[in-house]
Amino acid sequence: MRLAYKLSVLVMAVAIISTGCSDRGDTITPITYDNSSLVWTIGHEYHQELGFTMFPEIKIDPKMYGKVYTPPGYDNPGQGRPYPVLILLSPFNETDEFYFNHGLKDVADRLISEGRIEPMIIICMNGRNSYGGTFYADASASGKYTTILGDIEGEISTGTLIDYIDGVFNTLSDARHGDGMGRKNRAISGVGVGGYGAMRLAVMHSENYSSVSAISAPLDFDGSGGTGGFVPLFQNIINELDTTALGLDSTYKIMDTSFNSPVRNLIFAGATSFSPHDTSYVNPEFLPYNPPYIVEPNGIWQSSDTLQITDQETYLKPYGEDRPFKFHMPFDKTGAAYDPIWQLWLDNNIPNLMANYPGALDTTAIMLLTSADAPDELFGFDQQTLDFADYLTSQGIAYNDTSFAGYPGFPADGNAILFDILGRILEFHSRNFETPEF
Amino acid sequence: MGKVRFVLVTMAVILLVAPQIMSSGFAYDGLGVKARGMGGAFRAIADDWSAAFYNPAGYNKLQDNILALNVGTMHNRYWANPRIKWGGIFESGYLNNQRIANHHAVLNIPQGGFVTRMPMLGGETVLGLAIMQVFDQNQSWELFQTPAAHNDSGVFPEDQFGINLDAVAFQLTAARGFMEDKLSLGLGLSLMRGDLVFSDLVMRDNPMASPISDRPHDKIPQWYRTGGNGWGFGWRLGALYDATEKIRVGATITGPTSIDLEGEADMRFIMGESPYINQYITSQQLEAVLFLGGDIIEYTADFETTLDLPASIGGGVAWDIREDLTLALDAEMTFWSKFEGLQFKFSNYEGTNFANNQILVSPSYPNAQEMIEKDMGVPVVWKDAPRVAVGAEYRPRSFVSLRSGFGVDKSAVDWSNPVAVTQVPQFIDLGTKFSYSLGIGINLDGWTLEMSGTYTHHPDINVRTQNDQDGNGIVDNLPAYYEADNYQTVMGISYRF
Repeated sequence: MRLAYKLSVLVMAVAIISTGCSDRGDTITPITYDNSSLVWTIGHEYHQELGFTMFPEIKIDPKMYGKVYTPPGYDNPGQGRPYPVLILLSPFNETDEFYFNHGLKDVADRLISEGRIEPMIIICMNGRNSYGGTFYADASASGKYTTILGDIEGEISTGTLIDYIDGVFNTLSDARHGDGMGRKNRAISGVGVGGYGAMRLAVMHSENYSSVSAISAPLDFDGSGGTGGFVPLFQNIINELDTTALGLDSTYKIMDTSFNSPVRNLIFAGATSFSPHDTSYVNPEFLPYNPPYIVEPNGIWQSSDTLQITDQETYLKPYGEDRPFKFHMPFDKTGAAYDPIWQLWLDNNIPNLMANYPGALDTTAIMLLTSADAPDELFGFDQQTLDFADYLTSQGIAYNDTSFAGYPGFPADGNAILFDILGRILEFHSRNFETPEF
Repeated sequence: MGKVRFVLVTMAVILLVAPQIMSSGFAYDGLGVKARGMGGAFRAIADDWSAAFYNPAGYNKLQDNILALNVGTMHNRYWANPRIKWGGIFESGYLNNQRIANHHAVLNIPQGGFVTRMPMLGGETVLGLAIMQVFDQNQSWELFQTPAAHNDSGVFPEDQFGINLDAVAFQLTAARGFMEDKLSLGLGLSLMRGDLVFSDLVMRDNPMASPISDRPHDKIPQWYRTGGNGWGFGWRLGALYDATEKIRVGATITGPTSIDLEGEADMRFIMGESPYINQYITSQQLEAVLFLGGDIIEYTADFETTLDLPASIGGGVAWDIREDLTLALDAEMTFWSKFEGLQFKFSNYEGTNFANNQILVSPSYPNAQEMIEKDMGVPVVWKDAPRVAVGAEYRPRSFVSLRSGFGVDKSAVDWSNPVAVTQVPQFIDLGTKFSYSLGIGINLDGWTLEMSGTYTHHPDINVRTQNDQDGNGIVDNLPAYYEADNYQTVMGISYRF
């Protein structure tokens, strides 16, 4: 008995010592994921001109540039499984590199590895011009973005972007997988002006996009009451002009177009897209492609482009009379919206576009994201998004509405936390793809 | 059986009357095998070489010369489950929601002393020289992984968060008796050697504007490691009084010590990486390239800091209940409120290559220079912490001693304000701790072989809130769910002659 007692004590002591001093090894689980995805650079040449660099020397670039993310395991058409497609449009003054500079590749790789999103092809498009952006409208002055990003013409080499992407990349397309498969597996999204472009395309080409998301985007140009949106910015622009040397009239006419005022340049960018003055300029290189010009009786250029605005009240001529791509401002020298031009902008306002395309969003999944930290942000885009959300509600159109915030000392203004929002965007669109089992 | 019952009842009574207890911080409690076997309740006993630490007056009671050597082995078995998200949402590289162990290490701590009785000053004075590690902290962790959108090859050393702090006292102790030896007084004067290797990983705010500082480049991880040493002076005073033939009372005061440490520091920054950085820069924006180019920039520097070791007071009582049974109770208060952490002042920065040196001197990098040339530190808010221990020694045979002890230590970390907790992985002190000790001693013809083991359990603590204690924009604590246990074994051999 005494021996048994001693042995039990000894065993317990050894057990305690061995447990207490055992090496627990490496208890860390490194965060790893398959990062063998690839990023490709594309420069697709559409058969119509795409205004890209407008001054001081005109340089018409026919190519639309982008970067394409292909997921790990991607293989060419016919050699691997096809993938759904998400198109991301760059915001104001950013390029196709924007999303990758905010960690898109890492975010997508990780979410795919964790099974949180469907493997997808992500196309980041460049919508930047010399004023910072194009609003992805259709205009000779700034490019036929709506057509090239929204339409399907069926010609890979000179057709639209969708033609090119579906032709070159291993996508789920109508051509290869049957009618309807392309739309079910194609989505579009964007930040800021890119979000406007995404919503514009989802409305005007709802036949080709099944889901759309817009983050802090100008989706309601005049706000819910007609005096919000861009309208307050007009007065701000006038207020920041230095009129001491030349007076208001002259200063207004020669507003500085260099990039020292983001708000002013945003309006310039919009003006080249929605109210360009002289669309008669045609690069001779593209003459064979361009339709003949028609001047409407009222002399006002309509959103379908190719006309010349005769109005002189808000006419801006950067770099002089002899340079093309002059444009008209949507406000007069008092800072008030100038109706003949402003109406051209409002023709491109998303609610108005929806009126022209009734039912366009009926089968489209919509997500709107706004920053809770930036109600007074520079461009007022968050408020426009909120106003548009109200509009959708009034129309009985369902949407996902999410706000995001930064952390103390780091407000979520601008694109500061895009890295963290990208996951939400990818997950939303992934949920709405109707990808067959492979 | 009656003896055992009596001992247990007595100890229970002592525990019931003892207040909530214990001293903590980074005091090393592995001194002396007998003392540890009795849970550290040794102030009123103090009858071996380790009296130099527990009560210098105890030397007066030593009738022999003693040469002793102890080796303590210690295993800090800690866990941290980091929960660091900026604003509760945004992550930046901490291995959140993983239960991560500190790096495995069984620490060996040798110490010992020599005691001799000498005729001095008209009577017999006992002198002793002891080498004791009185403060210790040693653990390291890897709790961070370079986040996405940074250089894939950018890693930090394994001791991302680490400390190896040793404060060793080379103490000369003198003790003698008064009142016919009923009262003993002892004084220990020590030369204190401090050695410190400290590493930390902090997240620095990116000083650049958007888009350079957009997430996930809003924070720049900085790791630094300091390694240096220094010297200081300390003292401790003890008294031991024989209240009766069977009851002794002891009291001690230990003075504070400041050790100025100097040495060299290494530091490393892993900068953000953007694949298409050219979008954001012109030829003049070299600093943008630095902050988004995925560089790993490294520097060395000199550093200096002051290690403030706290004072303490303590008292104890020992009761020889029978010839073969002694009970002891100790209480101690350590004034940790004087310890404000470690503040490192850096100088003489030097880059590890030409490019890094250029960053320090070129006018093109004003933000980087300000970020790099910043003193660092770990400010803490600690409070005075009491400790109570009870111990018993039972001598069933003349050559065998069996010991047991129990201690309760309050935490030095101030947990009273949950939003300002300064808990960091380098100093694990998670609240009121309970320690359980067992020990055995065998005496053989002047030789004594001893061994003791102590298990200490910390309560689990969930630190939820980030705390910038010194308001310099750098989070000073590390929110995590902490768990901790300590295992300690002390072995010793001594010779009395």
